[in-house]
Amino acid sequence: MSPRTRLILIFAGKAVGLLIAISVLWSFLIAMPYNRALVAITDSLSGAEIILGEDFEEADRVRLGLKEDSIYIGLPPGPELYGYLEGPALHYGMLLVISLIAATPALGWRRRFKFIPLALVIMFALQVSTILVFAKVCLSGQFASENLFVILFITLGTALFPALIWGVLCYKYWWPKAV
Amino acid sequence: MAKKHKTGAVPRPKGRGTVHKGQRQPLRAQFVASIEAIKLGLRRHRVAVKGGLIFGGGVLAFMLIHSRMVETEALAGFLTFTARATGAILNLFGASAQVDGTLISSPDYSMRIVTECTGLVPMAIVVCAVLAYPSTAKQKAIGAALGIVAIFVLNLVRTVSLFFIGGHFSTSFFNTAHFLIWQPVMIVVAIVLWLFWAEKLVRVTAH
Repeated sequence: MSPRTRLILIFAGKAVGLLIAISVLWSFLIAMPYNRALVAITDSLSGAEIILGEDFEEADRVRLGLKEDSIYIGLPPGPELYGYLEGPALHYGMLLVISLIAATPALGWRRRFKFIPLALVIMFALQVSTILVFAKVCLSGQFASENLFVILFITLGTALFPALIWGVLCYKYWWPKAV
Repeated sequence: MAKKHKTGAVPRPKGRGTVHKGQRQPLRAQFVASIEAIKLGLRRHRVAVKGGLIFGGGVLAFMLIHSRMVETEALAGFLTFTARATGAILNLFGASAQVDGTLISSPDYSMRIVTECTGLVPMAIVVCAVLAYPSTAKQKAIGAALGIVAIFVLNLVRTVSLFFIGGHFSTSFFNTAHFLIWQPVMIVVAIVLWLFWAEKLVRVTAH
């Protein structure tokens, strides 16, 4: 086994191990406060009413089949809902970016501690933008899953940005130049 | 005769371009210098820049196709195929699963396969990364094909495991496994597949 193959396997093991560990912590400690932060900021920035499932009366939640951790888009003051995003479906990007940066070989601890908070701030901004774009598309009566901008922001704010930032770090600090 | 310099010392250029201490470059000169620095950077990292542009273009193309594919027969067919394959594997483990279109149901649990359950995004990431990395057309074709097949197989493992988790554990545990573990794991696997392809196929072949 070549040294680089060994490094790839170590990277894969560390990344998956970290993901599992962080996901447990996240789901118990951070998920709901993070959802609240997303909803508070997007609600103040958007013309729509953005509500967390948990904030509905329990009777309404049961009657309408709402989920506690989903983010619903409505128009004030009525209870009519135009669409929703599953909270955890956005959150996984945060876990991904932490574990990818933390598991990348040949990256010193100082750099990890510098890049992880920076990446998290950018991810948060991307996720706020995702909800705002989603709310705008929902309220305009379009089908959100067919909208290019919604797909772009959801992909960027979950899977793509972590992969991109990891690619840049990998190119700069780890993977030797290909040519 | 050339003037001798101390070992390691870089001779400073003299003449019009020299900036002395305390003297500020005019705005235009600063602008030109910045443009030159960007050009130099692009030239030095041209392979990476080209790769980044191909990756970005590929991902954008995927998203455009994705947005046009919703409610098409092609996507519906892929969803149904994923549901049938998941149902078949579940039945191998004795789950008595029945598949109706994209709905998989058993006495324990029911689950619908939607676009996000097909692994299309990790597939797009691995294919775009393979296309962007400097390699031959044959290597790219092999990498893309292997990446798609590997992600599809892993996705089946994911859907089967989620069906069992949904049937035997609480909703919150299912949500954690579904969104917080399996989704990022799929992206990590896409990245690792690309790394293995670049290491084992491209680098070894090049040597």
